[in-house]
Amino acid sequence: MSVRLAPAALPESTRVLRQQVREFVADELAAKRFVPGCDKWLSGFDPAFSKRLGDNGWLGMTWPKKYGGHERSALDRYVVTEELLSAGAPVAAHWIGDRQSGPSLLRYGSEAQKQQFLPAMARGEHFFAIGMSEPGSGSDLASVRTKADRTDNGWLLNGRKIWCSGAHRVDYFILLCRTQPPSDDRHAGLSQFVVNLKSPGITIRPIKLQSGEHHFNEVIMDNVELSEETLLGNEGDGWMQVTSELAYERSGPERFLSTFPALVALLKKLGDDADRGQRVAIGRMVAQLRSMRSMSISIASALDRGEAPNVEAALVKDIGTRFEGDLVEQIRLLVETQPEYGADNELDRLLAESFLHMPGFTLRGGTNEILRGMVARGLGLR
Amino acid sequence: MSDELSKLLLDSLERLLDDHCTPERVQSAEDGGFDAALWQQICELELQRAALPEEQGGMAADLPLMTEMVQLAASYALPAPVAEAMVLGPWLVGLASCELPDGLVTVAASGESLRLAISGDQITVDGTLNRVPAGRFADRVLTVVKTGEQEYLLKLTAEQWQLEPAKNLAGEARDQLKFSGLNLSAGDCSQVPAGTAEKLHQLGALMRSAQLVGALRRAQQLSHTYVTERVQFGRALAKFQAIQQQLAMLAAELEAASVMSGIAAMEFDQIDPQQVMISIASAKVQAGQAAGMGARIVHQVHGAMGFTQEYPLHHATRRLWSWRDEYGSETHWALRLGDGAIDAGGERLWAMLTAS
Repeated sequence: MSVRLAPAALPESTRVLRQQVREFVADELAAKRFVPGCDKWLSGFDPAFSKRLGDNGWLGMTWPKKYGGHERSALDRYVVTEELLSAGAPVAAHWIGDRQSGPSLLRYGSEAQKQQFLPAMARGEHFFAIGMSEPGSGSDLASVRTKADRTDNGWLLNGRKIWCSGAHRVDYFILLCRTQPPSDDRHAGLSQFVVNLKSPGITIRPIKLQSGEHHFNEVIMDNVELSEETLLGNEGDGWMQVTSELAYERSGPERFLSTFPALVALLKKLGDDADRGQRVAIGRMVAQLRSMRSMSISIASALDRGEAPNVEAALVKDIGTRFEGDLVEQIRLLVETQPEYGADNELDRLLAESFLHMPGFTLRGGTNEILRGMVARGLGLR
Repeated sequence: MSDELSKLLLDSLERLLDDHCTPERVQSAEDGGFDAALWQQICELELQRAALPEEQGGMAADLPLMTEMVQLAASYALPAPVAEAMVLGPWLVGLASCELPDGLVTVAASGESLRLAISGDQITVDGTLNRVPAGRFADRVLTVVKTGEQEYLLKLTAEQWQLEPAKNLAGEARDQLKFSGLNLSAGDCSQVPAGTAEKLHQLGALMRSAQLVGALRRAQQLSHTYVTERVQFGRALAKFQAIQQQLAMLAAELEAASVMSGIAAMEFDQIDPQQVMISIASAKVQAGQAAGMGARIVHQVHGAMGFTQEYPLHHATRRLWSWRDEYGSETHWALRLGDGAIDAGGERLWAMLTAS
């Protein structure tokens, strides 16, 4: 067995698109419509910004036109996402829907579900959250206990989900739960539903980050009635479906660019005055960034060819998320800084955002230890 | 060159190495790192001419393919100056439109310490070439020397130098060649375009990056086999999560280096010199980093067996510790990238990273 990434170049045709996104971002900055930040794909929730992206055709880019998409390549989407992330733009509102909920709906959803959700998501009007983890189910996702029981005309949902980013502001989440009691096959009897977060019986409770920010939520479901039409895909296929959703979740440039704006701020602060040691340290970061980017493009190219590079995506996420933490650890040693939330000094502010968010980098979307376990299996070691 | 022909070349090299480049053979070439009989077999496949243009009797194999071949040879620790004889030498003679000399041709990384005096028909060479791969075995050494604004390709012959043997950590010859008052014939000194010395330096760094990837792949394979077979506490080492985690991190570093050197090989012929520098420098930094971290992991999972002479892991790891310092260490290339980033400034850093 082997785990291999093939070097791939972005097609020439992406240059025009990249330029368009850069001009858009420059206009947004000039109009002071956003302030660049670190980890804005979690914390930068700005529906108006997402709507403007939708207006430009930069959401649902790879989806079929008949569902409001734009039938562009995965590499075009890659270029748009890396441009927005590197600019520290507020992309959190649409991020989950555009990255994984939409592709899941496209792949497993009924015709009615596709019609109902995808066009509005591509316009930047409907936003999604994730309903996977539970108080008792973190890395061990197959142990979820939230359950949906059959009723005469649908399902009755009970349970609790946690770490649901943006659930207090978005419309829907895709939820993984048991529809059959646990059996010897732990992965059997799981199903996914598309759940309206405004449904009666749902309570959403904030789980604040150590910074005091409110992005995460606990979603408590108490006898929530779901119609037949809310089932996503096939009953009992939940594990297979959620696994493919995770492949989308793990493969993008947000897995190495969360702290990139801090490096930009460092260079602005240093100007031309950098000494040799600073230059060498910065050069190493540049080399690593260039390499992480090559890996991420390799994954995007494989996705574009219709492959499912799940293990490779896990590998890239492991090294990429360690890197985005290392980046700010190195930056703080190169200059005098006192990280402070909301500081006027850009570098101090960006480092503060980075450090307080950093523990999440190597946890979200599967801890790095779990990912390395997947890689080890891919290597034939287990 | 067609994909089929590329595959044929790679396959034939792999078969040859599989059959003949055994750990015993590598070990017996320890003193200097050259197995003449094995190299002869490579030459019978004409692989040393593969990179030459067709009109010079080559196969016009492109750089990504040649990089793959060099990487493959490195994964077998082939005792021969493969990068020099198969890629750097042919690239230089292709550039100067001259013939590839017969015999073993090697390339000296830098001719900076040579002095070239040209007056009329009289060409005189003085000075020293340092750390020349396989110098003591070579029939010819190629190098590029600058005099003022001009750059010249020199073809030097064994009887023209005085040899001071030296070697790297892997036992590969890195000899010192001394020249004093050598009169060179005009045919052995060709002017080459300005910037050739720099391009040679970059191409050399790319080759070492690919070789590091090849050697690390070999070390990885040995590690996977070892941890699958070695039993402790009643279980194969591979079943321990601590071991799995280490080898997964090794795989990540290795793939980063592998993809980056693959990209650098694809981009080498592009016009924008800054872009080429960035991808080569990134490849060498990443490969050097992977070498250090990777060597530590593969030895750790092998236990004491891994650093004995009888077990072949050191054929890979001693090369890792050698090649990462050749053609510029991580620091050398990081400084260039850092200079580029400082010149670009914060506003243009992303544009610099995405130029290709």
